[in-house]
Amino acid sequence: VERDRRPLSGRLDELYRRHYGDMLRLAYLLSGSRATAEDLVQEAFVRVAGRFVELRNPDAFGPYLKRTVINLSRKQFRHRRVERAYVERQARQPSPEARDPDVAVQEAIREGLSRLTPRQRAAIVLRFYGDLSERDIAETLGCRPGTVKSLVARGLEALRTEIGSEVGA
Amino acid sequence: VSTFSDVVREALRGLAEDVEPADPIRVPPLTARRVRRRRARVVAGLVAAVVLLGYGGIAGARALVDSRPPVPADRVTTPPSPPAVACQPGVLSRSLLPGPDDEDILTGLAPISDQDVWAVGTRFNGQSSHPGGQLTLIEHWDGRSWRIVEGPSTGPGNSRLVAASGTSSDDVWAVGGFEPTVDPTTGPEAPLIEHWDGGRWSIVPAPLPPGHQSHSGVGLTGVVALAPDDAWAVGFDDTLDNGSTTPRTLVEHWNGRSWTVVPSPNVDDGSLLQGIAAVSATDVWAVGASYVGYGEVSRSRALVEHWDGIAWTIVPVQSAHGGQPFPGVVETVTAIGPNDVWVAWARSIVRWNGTTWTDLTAPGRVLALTALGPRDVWGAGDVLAHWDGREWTTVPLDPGLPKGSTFNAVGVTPAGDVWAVGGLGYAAGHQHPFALRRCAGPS
Repeated sequence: VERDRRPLSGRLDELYRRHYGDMLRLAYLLSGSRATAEDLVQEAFVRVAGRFVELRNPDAFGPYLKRTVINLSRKQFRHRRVERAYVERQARQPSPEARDPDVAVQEAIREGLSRLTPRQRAAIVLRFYGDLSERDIAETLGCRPGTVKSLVARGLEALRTEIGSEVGA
Repeated sequence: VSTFSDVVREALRGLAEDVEPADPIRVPPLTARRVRRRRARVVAGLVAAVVLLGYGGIAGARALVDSRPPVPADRVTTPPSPPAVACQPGVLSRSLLPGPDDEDILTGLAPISDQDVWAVGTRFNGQSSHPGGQLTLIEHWDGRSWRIVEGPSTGPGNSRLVAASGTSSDDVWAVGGFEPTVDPTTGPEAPLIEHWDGGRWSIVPAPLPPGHQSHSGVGLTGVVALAPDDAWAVGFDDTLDNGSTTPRTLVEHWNGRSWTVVPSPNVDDGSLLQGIAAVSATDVWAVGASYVGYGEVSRSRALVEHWDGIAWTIVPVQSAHGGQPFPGVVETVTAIGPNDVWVAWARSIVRWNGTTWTDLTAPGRVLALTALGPRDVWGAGDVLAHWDGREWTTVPLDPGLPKGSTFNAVGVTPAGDVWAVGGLGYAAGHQHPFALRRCAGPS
């Protein structure tokens, strides 16, 4: 492999451009807050770029970064009780777009996510947004694959109930 | 017909669009700076042997290629073996220490006697089992030479030692942090406390702060030993169990049987401690910083705390700064007597006389302080300097220190020999352990 001799700042910019959007979206779904998501991604980037010896192998960088965002967001969960109460208050206010059925489903899922336990939420986001296998999710959350199965099932069930009550479907 | 999973998948994708990043996507400058700072300490690379040869001559070259295995702890010699070369009063000598990796630095120093000095730090060896490449480094001076001494294994994750302090040849402490698991993406932050009992280094359990479920986010960066049953360690508690989203100060005490957490004050949005020094069991000083705002936009303020035998309290340092908060993170403290305490960071050295703080002009960037008396203070950082009671004099070094070198710790043996250890810069971001010794007596 040819050693990438560009200055560090150039390589950092490229890695950042390549991954920032994806990581921000993932962190947002995991944390439920844009500000938290932005902090998570910056922190993850510093940790991975600051320690990853082979910056010139950007293919391996992405998975590390993703893993770090997920790990950091797990730490964040423990602080989220207050925030969840806030999100719930916000969610109770009907928004004008709620009349659009697609948006209504989306908002119902948003509210439903905020009611899930942190582990259920992580399992749902990693399974249906992150497209991780049950085995990978189990490794990430530090539990058995069987537990992931039940986390996902219960999470889906809770979301289904939420949608039913919101959309009247 | 779409399944409910598809509905969820679709909704998640829609929700994720709430946070479309604005164009253009660029690394925020502070993030880039933080990355660089980390990389400067981690990246492995080629050795610029020329610099070390120029600095250390043949001995320097030998230190570089030193492939001797670490000394088993039971073969560490302490007195009575006589030193091979007597110390000439006032004479400076320098040595490059064994440093088998691309980057090894020493940050802690415990001078016990002229034939028994410990230095601790971190090796960056890039082993695949240690993804960040950090491992503890312990070196010992037996009066003749420096040798690496085996420390206890902290497991498969990264580990490091930051500070050391001892009361005798069989009572030395070293503190730092380690990662309990192999994960290249988390910081090395569970507290690491090691003790030398005269025969071996062993890990001593660090206490879990009250109400905490985990150590993840705790690190120790300073230690001072006053007696076999009286030692203090300081650092930070950045766990999620600390009752805040920001770091809190952490103070731990050794009573001869175990370490316990002692409550310490916090101010502003977050606080941490870095260094500690003691006059007596009822007069201990710890230094660090508090933060206004934390994370990407934060301002640090000098923080000094004092133990009076009963409680830790904050001693405001503002009086040395026109009554305004004094920016910076205090690196080091030395306590000469009850009413004579010196703290330093960046280019500030501030002295406490029991009533007020006075700002002394610093001889350079000072990372470490030690004192033999009010007219005999040593400061080390990007210079080595001596305070004679009136002014600082920079010790001339020939050859001069290569760019990127720092003294990280300075200490004095009971006989008055001054030792300074640190990392000798030999390529961008790379350091090799080195030590400077000034034998007791006038130059």
